[in-house]
Amino acid sequence: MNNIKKALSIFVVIFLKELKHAFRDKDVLIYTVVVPAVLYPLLLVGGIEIFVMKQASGSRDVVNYAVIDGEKPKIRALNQLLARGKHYKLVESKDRLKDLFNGRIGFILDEVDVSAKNPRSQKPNGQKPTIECSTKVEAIVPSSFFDINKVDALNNELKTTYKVLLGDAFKKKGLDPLALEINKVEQKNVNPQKKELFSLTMALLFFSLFNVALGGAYPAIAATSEEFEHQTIETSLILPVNRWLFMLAKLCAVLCLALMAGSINLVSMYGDSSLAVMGAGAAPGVEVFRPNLSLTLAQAPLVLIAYFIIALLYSAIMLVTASFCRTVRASQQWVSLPMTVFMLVPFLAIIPQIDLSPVTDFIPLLNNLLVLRSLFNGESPNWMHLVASLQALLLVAIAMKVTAVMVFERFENKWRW
Amino acid sequence: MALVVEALSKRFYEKSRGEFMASDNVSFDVRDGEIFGLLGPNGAGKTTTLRVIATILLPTSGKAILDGIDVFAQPDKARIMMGFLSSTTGLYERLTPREILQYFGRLCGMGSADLEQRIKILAATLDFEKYLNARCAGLSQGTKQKVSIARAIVHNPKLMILDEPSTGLDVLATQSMHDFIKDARKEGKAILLSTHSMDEAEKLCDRIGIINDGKILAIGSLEELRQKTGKTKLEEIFVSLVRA
Repeated sequence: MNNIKKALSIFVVIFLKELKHAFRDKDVLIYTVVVPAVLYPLLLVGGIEIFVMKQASGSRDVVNYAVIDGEKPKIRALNQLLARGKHYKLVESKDRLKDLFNGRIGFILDEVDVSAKNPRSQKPNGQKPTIECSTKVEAIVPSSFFDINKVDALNNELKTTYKVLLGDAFKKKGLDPLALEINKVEQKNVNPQKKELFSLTMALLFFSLFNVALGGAYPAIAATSEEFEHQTIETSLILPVNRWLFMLAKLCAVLCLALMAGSINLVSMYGDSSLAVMGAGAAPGVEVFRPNLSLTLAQAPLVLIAYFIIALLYSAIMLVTASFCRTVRASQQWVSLPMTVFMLVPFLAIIPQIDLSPVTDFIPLLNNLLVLRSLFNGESPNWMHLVASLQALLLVAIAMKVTAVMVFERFENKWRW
Repeated sequence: MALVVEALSKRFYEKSRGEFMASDNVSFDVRDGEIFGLLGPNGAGKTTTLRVIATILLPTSGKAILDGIDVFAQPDKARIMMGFLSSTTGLYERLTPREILQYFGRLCGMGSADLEQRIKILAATLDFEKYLNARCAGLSQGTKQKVSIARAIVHNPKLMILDEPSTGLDVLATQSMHDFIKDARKEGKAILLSTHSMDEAEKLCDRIGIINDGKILAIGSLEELRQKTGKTKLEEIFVSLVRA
């Protein structure tokens, strides 16, 4: 018991010293507080402003779309109408759902039988329902914050620019123009059975993980390379302290600052985007930037644990990378390598086609991000989550062993023959 | 006998030089209340020998016994009993002297009250009281060296290992450093220091070990070395031993 108490007291002394020493470094201060709290949120607000201005100016990109059975009357009429304008283009697609999720097409139009879905629309005397009420047009869009406004824009286009043409065309065919309101159907995943949602809040959560890496990089450099550059490593080596305890305290200090950077960024981005949306008022489509955090009480701890494990892994990787360098400058160059990986992997993890599977479960970093994604989207914990988390902890242990060798043992055994 | 070093060797390998012995079969002892100096030119193996004894480097072979404790077999026990001043100041630049002394004192097992008292005494003795709460990055070289000494002995060790303690100090600072070392001797500390300054060795050391190419060439008091070589000045003694 005394040994544990003593070890804990030593741990606290080293941890606090590392924290104090790192936090007084202006580079650490910039990348842990200023950049996550000010720079990135400002960029987001700037992005929202540009979006609002673009919406206000009316400039729009051409949206490709595909149809299911183009021979159906309402679809044919819509194709003709949209072909007259310059904002929509019909394209051929072999696998419409895949094209929808990889962004090749913006939506899929389908004319569906309403009478089959809604028996009340059947005529009571058994007569065949009229075409006006028996079918409706649906636009299938990905359930993504980028696509939230697409169907509204399509309906607006039909109601404004082609209103007259629309009415004429329908009347000629004996149809009621009012029946051509396009209904929105959100496709949540390539796999229709899966309940996943790609929200702005999740994108912000993933982006904050990049800030975790950024916030951990400079403390990791201060805890390793700087010890060599300022030759303080010698004085650490003569201390009667277990090397593992030393490394653990250093890791915890780096993790603490990394988590601080991530949290500051998340809160700041969340708040700033909410304010920017409020400030933009009723600008069309700006609602997509309104973050919406709807975690349940059961979900929240699981999401936090997954986030913590990723932050731990990032911190350990930063430490091990910096431990290979003997100068701060060299370290700053070397940590850009894992930083690039940390920046790119979340982009992979946010692609709907990439899912947590027995294959992806063994890809380091990606598996942990996919675990975070699925837990954030309300999936229950399963064995794949456990495997990915254990793998991350194993990697952290390996990284810490290598760091200890590079920082302490290599120095002690230096050139030993 | 405070420290006994027996047949200590440290082999290095460098691409440009190949395999070489930085310390080769080095044996000596340091008694309580004695200043033992390792005197040698640059690259003679003084720092390596001190680093091995201070458990910073692992020895290739040999033994070091500090008050009955095998330094290499029980390094943590030995570390508490020794203080090491490296040739570089090695201070955390963004911490204050007080914070550094608190950090090292706590890790060497000192209690808060004793530690605060010890910090006050060291700061007064080494004359850096007014810099106790200033960050080390802004201190002069002399003050940094003083803080570094205080850090090495904050836990009141039995053996003080000082690697070129007056490097980078001006005349006054060197003088106060020498006074401090002499005072420590009076307190009964065993002091092992390395230097390449004949003057410093002559002024401070009770016994001197002359080292060159990793080997101890001679050990003894200044008088004993004079008798051995037939020379009077330490500089002449040193040159005759090294050239021989």
